[in-house]
Amino acid sequence: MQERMNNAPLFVKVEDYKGILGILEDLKDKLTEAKSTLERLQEIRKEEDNEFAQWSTTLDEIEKRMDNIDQELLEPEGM
Amino acid sequence: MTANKSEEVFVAIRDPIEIRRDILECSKEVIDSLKKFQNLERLKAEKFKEINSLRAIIRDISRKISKLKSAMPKTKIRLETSKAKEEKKTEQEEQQEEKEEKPVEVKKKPATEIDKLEFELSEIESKLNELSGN
Repeated sequence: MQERMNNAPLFVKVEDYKGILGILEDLKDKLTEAKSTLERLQEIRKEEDNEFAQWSTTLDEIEKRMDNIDQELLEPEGM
Repeated sequence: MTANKSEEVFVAIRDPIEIRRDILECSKEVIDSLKKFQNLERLKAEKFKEINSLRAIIRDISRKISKLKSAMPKTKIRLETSKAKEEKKTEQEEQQEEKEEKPVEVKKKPATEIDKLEFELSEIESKLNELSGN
């Protein structure tokens, strides 16, 4: 008896069924939106990483030039 | 004063143009770094905006799932077996005994957002356990 009840088909009003399908459609749209927002966030993270890498290169360059100046000024001609 | 002036010592710089160029290049790179900083600030603001938007979408998804849940027919198909009934009965008896022994604890309402979400999660997990038990 119980098994029969478990496997019994469930009937849903057509109006309710349409409503459920509408919600499912909305959910799919929202998921697509969430996915594209997440993709944009990943892009931003990549851009940030790139900016940091460039910053590091610039600082290395400044350090190299400072070393050159330091060397020139600390060991002047005739000293 | 004039005597002091005659004693002044000068240091020759070998390549002043090179040093001047290095200083100018340094200054250029520092300004470039500041420009990069502005770009980073823009990215930070955009990230903040996108995170807020994602949060709003996920909240919307959560609301729609609840809506879907309530739109489904509320029919309890499964019948309680006699064994399950007995188990339920003994559980109820035990709970009643515990209630008699202990003073009634007031269930606190979830305070923060995380508490609220954890509460919801535990409720969903218990429902899932019920479903897998059946």
